[in-house]
Amino acid sequence: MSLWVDKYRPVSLSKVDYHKTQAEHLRNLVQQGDFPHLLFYGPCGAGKKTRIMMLLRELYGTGVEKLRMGHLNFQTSNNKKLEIMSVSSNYHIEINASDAGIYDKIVVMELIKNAAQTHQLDVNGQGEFKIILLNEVDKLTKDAQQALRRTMEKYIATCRLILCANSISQVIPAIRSRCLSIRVPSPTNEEIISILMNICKKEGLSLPTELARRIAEKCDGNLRRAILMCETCKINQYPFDKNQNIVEPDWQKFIYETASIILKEQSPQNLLNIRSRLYELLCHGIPTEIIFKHLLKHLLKNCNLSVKKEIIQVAAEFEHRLHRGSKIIFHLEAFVAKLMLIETNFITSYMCDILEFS
Amino acid sequence: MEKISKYNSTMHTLVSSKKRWVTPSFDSFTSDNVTQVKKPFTSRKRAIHQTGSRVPFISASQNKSVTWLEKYQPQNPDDLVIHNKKLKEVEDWFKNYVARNSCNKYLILNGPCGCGKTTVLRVIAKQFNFSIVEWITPLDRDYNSDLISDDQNYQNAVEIFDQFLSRATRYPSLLSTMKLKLILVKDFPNIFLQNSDTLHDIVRKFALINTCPIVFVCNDDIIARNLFPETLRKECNMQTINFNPVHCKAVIKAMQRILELERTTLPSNINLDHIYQSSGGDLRSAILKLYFNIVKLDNETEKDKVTTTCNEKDENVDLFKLLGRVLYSKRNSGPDGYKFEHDPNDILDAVSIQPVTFVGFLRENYISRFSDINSVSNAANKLSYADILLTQHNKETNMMGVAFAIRGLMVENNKPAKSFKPFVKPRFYEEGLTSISNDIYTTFPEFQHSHRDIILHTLPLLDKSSYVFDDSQKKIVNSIEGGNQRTVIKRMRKMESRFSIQLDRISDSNQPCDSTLKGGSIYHFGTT
Repeated sequence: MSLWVDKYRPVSLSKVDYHKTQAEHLRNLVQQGDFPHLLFYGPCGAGKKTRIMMLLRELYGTGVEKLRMGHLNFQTSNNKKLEIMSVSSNYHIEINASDAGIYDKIVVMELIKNAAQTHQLDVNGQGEFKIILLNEVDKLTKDAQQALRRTMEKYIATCRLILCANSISQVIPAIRSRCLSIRVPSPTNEEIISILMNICKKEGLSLPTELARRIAEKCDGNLRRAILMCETCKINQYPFDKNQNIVEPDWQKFIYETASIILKEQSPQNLLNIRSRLYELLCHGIPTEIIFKHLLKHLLKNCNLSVKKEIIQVAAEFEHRLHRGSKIIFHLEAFVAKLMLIETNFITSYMCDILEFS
Repeated sequence: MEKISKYNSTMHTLVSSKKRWVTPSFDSFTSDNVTQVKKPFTSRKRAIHQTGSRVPFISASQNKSVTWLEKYQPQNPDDLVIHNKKLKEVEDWFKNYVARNSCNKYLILNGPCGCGKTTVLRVIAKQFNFSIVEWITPLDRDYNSDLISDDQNYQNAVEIFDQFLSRATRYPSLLSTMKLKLILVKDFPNIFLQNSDTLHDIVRKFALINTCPIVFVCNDDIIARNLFPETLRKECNMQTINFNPVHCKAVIKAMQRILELERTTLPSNINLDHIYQSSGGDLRSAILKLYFNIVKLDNETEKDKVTTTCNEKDENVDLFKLLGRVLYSKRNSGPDGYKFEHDPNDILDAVSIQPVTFVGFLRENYISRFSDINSVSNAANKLSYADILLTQHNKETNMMGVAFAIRGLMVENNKPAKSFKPFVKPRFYEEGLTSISNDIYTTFPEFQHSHRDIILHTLPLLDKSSYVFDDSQKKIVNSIEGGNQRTVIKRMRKMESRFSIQLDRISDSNQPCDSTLKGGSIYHFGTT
């Protein structure tokens, strides 16, 4: 059985559920047979990847969907061997170069060199150029991005790059200017609701609008998550009830609990406790910006108005430092310690005020 | 008078160097030239002779000027300064070997430099009538490209070592009068340090066939562990004897004996105790320092007396002491403000591990040493800056990062917590993430999005849906979801393994420890 997410994924640019004008533009772009390097960016679950695959299908036909997995091997300058997973079809190759960590530069250079140095054999069948699809470009190191920029110019005759990123701010301007940037925004709540309703209709289920709205609110504009949530709801309880419980990912609850602990007690002992929770999160592969975001979200909900500004400022400061530094936990911990300090200062000043007043 | 003697001795060196125009083809025929395979004493002898001609020191030893190390090398077991128990261990091994001949051919002597490993071996081998053949890694290998391409002439280091062992074990020396033979390996070819498997193969091979004992001498625990892992030691019946640094009294006794024999006395401003302290239990270094001090003094007797000081060997401060000095910083208040009992600069100098690791240790342990949230917050802030400094790939900024972290913690911690807690080693998770992502790609090939999305959005929900996982997928989900704590811990262990080697070394070393820490043993790790 396949998940709804995969089952109801639109495959053609003419059948998208939202951003229809953008899809139209993309179609026009491809119909010329040629296009510049592309840079898709937008939040996760907004449909970047879906659009890229639709674009490729428009260009090459259904052959693009025959995918095979492969391992690419690279050797670094100090003889360390790297193995990177790749997904490829006859027409394109897809890779997540940031998996190589600090060696991503080598991966980017080698891959593009190998793929781009040869011309396509069959120009009529395969098109004039190959497509290299790079995921998570914003997670690449600056070195790798510089390498990318050079190779991009050099091999423009034989290959086109499609880059995919969550945020454009981490991509160097040189790459941004060499690509046609396409922003894929998250769907609006109404769009999500209508998509969920559609899917349920196709499945032969009746979804109360109230529940669809609640799912749409809980999914943070992430369509994939919305559909998965909807599916779990169906498994937990069917027929749907409009007040039924919507499953949230465990890590999210965990972060919220952590935020409550921060507000509850401010002491070095408690900081140790928080640290072990942070370790737990990192160990499970939760990205740091997500931790920052959700901690902040929950803290802002529960703290006093007067300290909100300061908390946001502190969060921004430490998030910035995290990108400058290398060890995540240093900055997360400093952030939590600072939060505790702000909270204690607030409480003491509040108590003083009360005493003075009385 | 002095001029003449100087002239004479220079003439002497000239003549002796002239005599050497022909290189002897048989090693042991000329008395002052020992084989290459044996220790190259000769060169050292000559070097000292020449310096001796310029600096007329120690009148008594002018004729046979050798270093005190050789001159006063212990000849019988009574002269050894080593603990009786250790001596007995080595003797027992020899006894066992002689009694049963074939089993336990291998002995590993392990201990810090200058604690007398080789000396003990030489003395006892002599007592049991063994002659010693020592392996010296050849340095003058010809790496001519022609030779390398020619398979027949080229030998790699492993082959040479292998051949040395088989020759040395099989054929008795023509010149040696002693019946039994012992092979000493101190100087391991570099290739074994990179790839210890080759050594393991050789050891296994000779465990079956060799006829004479082989003794390995190591002075570094990591190397010893790497070269001879526990399994190999068991398999080949290798016995290990660990040596400790030489005790204070023993060092002083040895130095006094030398002074007596030399019939000189130390100048008043130098204390034997001082020499011991600067050598840190290294007898060789202590004797050399003693020698140096006396030489210097002789040279300057007529001139104005300059106060001679021992140039100190860096004080050996282990990691835990350093951490204690930073985290439980003591302050001495003076007229204008306070001063730290241990200068942050000295602490910085003594840091011998990677800057990142040291700051990692500090960060892992600082919180429980603080008593209020205000200072913790400031300290955390400073560590965060230190990490930024450490990220620059530049040695100077890295050291600045460490200095910043040390000072930050020392200054902020104005009221260190009194209670003692064991130190914990740092944990870093960044590297583990790529391994997770690769696992995810292989086990969930059908998901077309990035691993980040899979971890964040897909798996947590899939787990609660009706999606059917196969076994390997279940394992991954469990490890990511934290459902199976054990796999998470295992993964953490894997990431930490590169630190653990270092830590094992520290926790094994039985160096006496009188740190500033309160509480008893500090060689203790929290295990999570």
